Order: sequence, then structure tokens, then C-alpha cells
Amino acid sequence: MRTGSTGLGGRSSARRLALAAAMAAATAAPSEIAAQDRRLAARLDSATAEAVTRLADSVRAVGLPSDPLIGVALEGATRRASSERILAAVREYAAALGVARQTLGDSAMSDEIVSAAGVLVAGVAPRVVVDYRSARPAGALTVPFVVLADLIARGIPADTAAGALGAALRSGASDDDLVEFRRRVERDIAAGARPTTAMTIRRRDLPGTPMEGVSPMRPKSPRLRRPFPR
Amino acid sequence: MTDDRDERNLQRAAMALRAPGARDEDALNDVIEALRRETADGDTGEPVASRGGRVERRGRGRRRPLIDRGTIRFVAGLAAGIAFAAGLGLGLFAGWRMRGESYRIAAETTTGRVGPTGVEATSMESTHRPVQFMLVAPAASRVALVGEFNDWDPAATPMARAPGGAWHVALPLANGRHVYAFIVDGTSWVADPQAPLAPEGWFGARNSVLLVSGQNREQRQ
Repeated sequence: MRTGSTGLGGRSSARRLALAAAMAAATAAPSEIAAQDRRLAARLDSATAEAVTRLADSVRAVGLPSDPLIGVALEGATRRASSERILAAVREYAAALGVARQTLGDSAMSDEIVSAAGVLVAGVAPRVVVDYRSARPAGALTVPFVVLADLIARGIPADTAAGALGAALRSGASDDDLVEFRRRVERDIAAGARPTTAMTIRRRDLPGTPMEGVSPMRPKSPRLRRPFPR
Repeated sequence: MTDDRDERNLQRAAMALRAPGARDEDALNDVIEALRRETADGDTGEPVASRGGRVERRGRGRRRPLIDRGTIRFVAGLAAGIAFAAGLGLGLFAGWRMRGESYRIAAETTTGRVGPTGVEATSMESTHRPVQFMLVAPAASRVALVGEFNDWDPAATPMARAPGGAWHVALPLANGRHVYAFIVDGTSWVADPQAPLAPEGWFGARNSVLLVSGQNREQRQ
């Protein structure tokens, strides 16, 4: 189970740089952008609310989506998390948003950035985000990131899941392919399969795998079903 | 002698007249002659109107209609063809309309069950789309939906219980990525069992992810 302590420590230098930039921006952020978000003031103590507001303002100032940061703070308030924990989560998320934007490029959509930030927080290396972008230079990457994050959350090692989806993307897998793949893996895990085993079996259905199209669940061809046609 | 010869001729003529079939031949000749005369008299070639109002032209020896049967058959066939084509066109148009309607209904239905798929919710025409969330929790006394869309406020979106223990609620959501969860009995934080898990587990139990998309099935095809 992941918590706010799943931090950026030990990650790439780019992420540390982004975190430092976000922290510096938050510290120096002018307060003219907005007063404290009323939602934050109503749910957090004043110091925490002010700190979160500064972070959100700084993120917004560089063109990144700030609502997810407010959302994390409000979620922490609902779950009665401590102020320190809430601030740690918001800072980590802000840094991840910066790295995601760096790796995806300035033309990335807001949902792509937020989804990419999510997989970065989940332990995926930034080079994976770059790899996905190169595999699908013009298409949206929101669904691949959501699927990747889900697979990791279900216990599949990040490198394994990222590699499988990356190969599928390079082979032209569509969002529908990935969504169906996720469903099957989820179903197998719910039926008792080990996450890695489910991933290994189901990745055969994805484009870009050596056994593409050969699924154990695929029905036999009519010729095989009827060896002695009339 | 002359009288005898005349008498013999007279008897022979009488016998001939009494012979069977002689009168029939004469009557037949009379009928043929009468028909010949009638035909000769009626061959004027002028158009006359029949009883049914159909315009005919008296022909030589036979009445020929102004519009012959071949023309009538051709026109009737042409009319039938046009009627068939029109009917076919109307049928296709109606089918197209029905198809579009069914797509629209399908899109709304898809939207209605979105929570479970978690990855896509399609389709109405505005930027906000109605999304239905559902959680089966028969033992729960109350369930609330929380997420970024209601500022994670447990009191904002209570769910209604349906027979069988399914809790549900529908609300309009903007296009984009939404993180959400269910709170059961005010304390248990539950992710949607059929939706993708959110990667960020900042505070413990994971949330779910929902992508609301403006794309619909018609556009994809």
C-alpha cells in the first residue's frame, strides 16, 4: 500500500531538480495570484492551507494543473491525515507534475500530465514516459498511463508492466486494446491468479508480443473443431 | 317431251333442296356474307369512345386500343419500379434514423454504467456527462461517493440503496480524469472494484480512476 512517503528520493536527477524548482517556486510565490482557496481554509488548519495554496499557485504559474494538488490536500483532510503528511503528498505530487510535463513536452494535455505524474509517483522511471511519447507521438497517453498505474497497483512490478505496455504501444496497440488487457488481468487476479502470471499470460493478447494473438482463451478454429468435414 | 324434261328437272331440284345439309350451307353462306358486309361498312378508321371511357380506334377488321397492352405493361412496370425504389429509399432512411437513435441510446447506456469500467464514459453533447456510480454493499447502512469532483466531502454525494444491496448515484462530470472512492458507513474507504486503481495512495487505501471522454462510438468508427 502506497503512502505519501513513497517519495522522490533515489529517483532521477530530473525529478530532484523538479522538486527543488517546485519548492523554490512555492517559497517565493507571490500571494497576489489568489487568496487561500476557500475549500482549503474550511478543511485544513491555516498554516497547512496557506502552504498548499502557495504550492498550487506556483504550479499554476508555470502552466501545470493545480486542481489535483488541492484535491490531494482535501482528500487528506477527509481521511484525517496529519498536516505534515498532507504537505508531503502535495509537494511530491507537484514535483511529479513538473517531471511529467518535462518528459511529455509542452504540448501535453492536462490529463496526460496528471496521469503521467501518477505513474511517476508509483515508481515508474521518467524514461518510460519518454518512451511512451515516442511510441505514440501524436496520440493521447492518458489511457496507457492509467492502465500502467492500475497494473502496478495490483502488484505487477513496474518494469514488467511498463515494458509490456511500451512494446504494445510501439506495435500500434489502441486504447481499447489496453483497456481490454487491463480488464483481463484484473479478472484473472480476482480469480486467484498471481499478478505476474496474469500479466504474462494476458500480454500475449497485446500487439507486439512474440505470441501475439495466441490466447489460451481463444476458441479453436472451425477446422480444428471439425476434423472430418462432410 | 319438253314437259317431261321440265318435270324431271323440277323433281331433281326439289330433291336437292330436300337433301340434308343443303340449308345449312346456305345459312352458313348467308352468315359469311353478312359478316363481310358488316366489316366492309364499319371500316371507317375513326376514333370512338368505348363504354368505359377508354379511347379506342377502330381498326381494319379489328378494334385496336389507343394505348396498347405493351405500353400499359411498360408503364405499369415502370411505376412499380419507381414505387419499389421509393419504398426502398424510405426504408433505408428510416433504418438510418433508427440506427442513429440506437447509437445515441447505446452511448447513454454506456455512460450510465461507467463506474465499473472506469476507463471511459461516453457521450452526451455537453462538457459534463452524467455518470452513474454503483457499489454492491448489502451490509452497509450508508454509502457516500467522494472524489475530486465533490472536494472529497462525504456529505456531498450520498448514495441511494436499491433492492439487493446495490448503492448507486448519478452525477454530471466534466471530461477528464477523476479520482474517487466510496466511504462505507462513514469509516471504510473502498475503491471501485471494477475500475482502475489510482496510482497515488497518499493516505492509505487506494482510490479509483475514471476517465470521462467526449468521444462516442460513432466518432470512433
